[in-house]
Amino acid sequence: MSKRVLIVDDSPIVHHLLRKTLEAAGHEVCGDAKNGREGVDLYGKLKPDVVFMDVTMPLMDGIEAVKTIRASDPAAQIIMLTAMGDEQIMTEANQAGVTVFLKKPFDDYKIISALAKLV
Amino acid sequence: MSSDKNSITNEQEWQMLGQALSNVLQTMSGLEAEIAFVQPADWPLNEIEFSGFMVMTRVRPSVLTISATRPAIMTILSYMTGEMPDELSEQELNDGVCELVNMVAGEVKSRLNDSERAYGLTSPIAAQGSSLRFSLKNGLETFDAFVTVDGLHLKMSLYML
Repeated sequence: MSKRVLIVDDSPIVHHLLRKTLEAAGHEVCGDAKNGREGVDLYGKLKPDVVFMDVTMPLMDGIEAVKTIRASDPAAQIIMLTAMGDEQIMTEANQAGVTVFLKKPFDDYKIISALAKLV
Repeated sequence: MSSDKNSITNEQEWQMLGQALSNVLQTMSGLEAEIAFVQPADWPLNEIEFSGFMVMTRVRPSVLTISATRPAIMTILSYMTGEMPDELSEQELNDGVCELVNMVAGEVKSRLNDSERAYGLTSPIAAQGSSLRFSLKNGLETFDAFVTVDGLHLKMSLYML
């Protein structure tokens, strides 16, 4: 089923890659944010089905953004996609309320299969 | 390689970074990387134009850099994004080399996390230009890898500060 997706990442290349993968699979990218604060703002305005969230970003990092989004919408579906795949980050992400944790590098299969796991 | 994570040497960490670079390039672009640890005679060092670097923060910090010629980073990003090479902007080329170094450093970070070599990472920084050179004081270790991808060239270096 097609999903509306918000991408939150400070890398234009990652936006480009995710958009290409998601749109080829029939999903809609409804918004692009380049830091956690923009991501929180756009989440409130767009109410996407799923958020792809980086961790290390300026102004507000991904963990804080997940906590803020979760506080306003406990049912938010958030996929954390980061190069920082160590246990400490994974624990923080889990406690913040991340639905799925993915490590970069990624390919199309990793992205689409993660989306398919979401209700 | 030793199974004792606390006894990992600089050389072993460097080998992990080389493996991580191969893995990142293969996963993200489908391209195979050939890595030489001695500079091949015809390797065009003066054509390097795009560099990304990150500081690995720990008791003894390090700097990891990945540099590429313009054709190399354009080709890699073209394979990654599906765009024609000349459709990629300068911003995307700079961002692309930063993402490479971010993913390589991030992949090894998770493997060293519970060792004495565990590190934090700064945000990646891009530098563009053909004259970028790091100059270190005598006695500081430097590791260089000369990477060939689809006939094109990248260089990865680790500076132990």
